[in-house]
Amino acid sequence: MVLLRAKCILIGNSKVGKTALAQTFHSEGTHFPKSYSLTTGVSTCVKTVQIPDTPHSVEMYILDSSGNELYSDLVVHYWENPSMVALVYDVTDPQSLASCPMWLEKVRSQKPEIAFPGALIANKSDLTNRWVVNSEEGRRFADGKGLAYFETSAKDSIDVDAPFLYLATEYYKLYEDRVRGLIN
Amino acid sequence: MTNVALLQKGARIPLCTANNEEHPAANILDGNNSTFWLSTGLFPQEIIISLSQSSLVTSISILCSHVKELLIEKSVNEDAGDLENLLRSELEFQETLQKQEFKLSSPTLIRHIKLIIQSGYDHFVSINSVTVVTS
Ligand SMILES: Nc1nc2c(ncn2[C@@H]2O[C@H](COP(=O)(O)OP(=O)(O)O)[C@@H](O)[C@H]2O)c(=O)[nH]1
Ligand SMILES: [Mg+2]
Repeated sequence: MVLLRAKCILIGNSKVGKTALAQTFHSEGTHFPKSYSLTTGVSTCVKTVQIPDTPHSVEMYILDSSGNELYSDLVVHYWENPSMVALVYDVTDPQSLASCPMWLEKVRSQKPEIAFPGALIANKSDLTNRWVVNSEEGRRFADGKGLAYFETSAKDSIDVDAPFLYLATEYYKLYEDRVRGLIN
Repeated sequence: MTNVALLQKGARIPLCTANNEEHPAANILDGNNSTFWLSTGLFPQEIIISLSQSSLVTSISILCSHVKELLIEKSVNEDAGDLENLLRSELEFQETLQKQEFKLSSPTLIRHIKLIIQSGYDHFVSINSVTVVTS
């Protein structure tokens, strides 16, 4: 049994639901202590995800940055050596999708030589009458950037696990590829 | 010219930040270049190699993959305390294994070395072997 460790950068405009997603995902199943840094506004929660059909798991350190701190240079230090990125927008706010390329670039520039798994999360899917950004637009953006597309509601706890499980599984595949490369 | 970083010579690894059951750190000291320790994600990664006794070391070599920034510290203390910087290197990217020899400017008394991998060219880095040569 192998336990992998991953730093998951949770990113996106303010108010899209990053903290709600992290909390909903975190509070299902096992509880781990949550830490919060006052100076940078970055909080970390840890959750272990079992890779389906294997005895292996990935311990995910999910870094959630709050509000204005996102724009400061201090937070960048926390993003060093990212393992994966979860990019969030709000389906009722087109500006939040428009900001996604900028967020993605910020994280990718931390480690330009390494490919890492990425998920695009269209959150607040429960606000059915207020959807402004349709699935098609989200999916097109995700495809163009090599991200997998997910729709979630942190409020109603709908499909919140799916993007994190995807990221953990992709990360595990990268590990398996490395092992294969070293053995041959 | 003998390599003392071998299990059969009494060398041990008392500390490793990534405990990989399938590819454990002991593989670094088994004298076999095709077995390896593989990290399990995140940086930095740290490994302490303890020699069976303090030895006068003339060079240290590493066979590894996807390692970028590497720091090596040494200690002459029994308990691996008072670690001092020995060398720092940025390894070049290689598709296959990276091989790097560090010749020490003069024979240096060493009981323990600590390898600190600060970053890599991949999420996961391997060390296939470490060779510690005594005069
Ligand atoms: N309706 C709805 N509201 C949500 C959802 N996720 C978050 N919110 C609300 O959106 C606001 C911002 O959420 P928060 O998690 O603080 O966003 P953050 O700034 O990205 O961390 C809060 O009032 C949340 O209750 C969701 O899935 N559906
Ligand atoms: Mg928040």
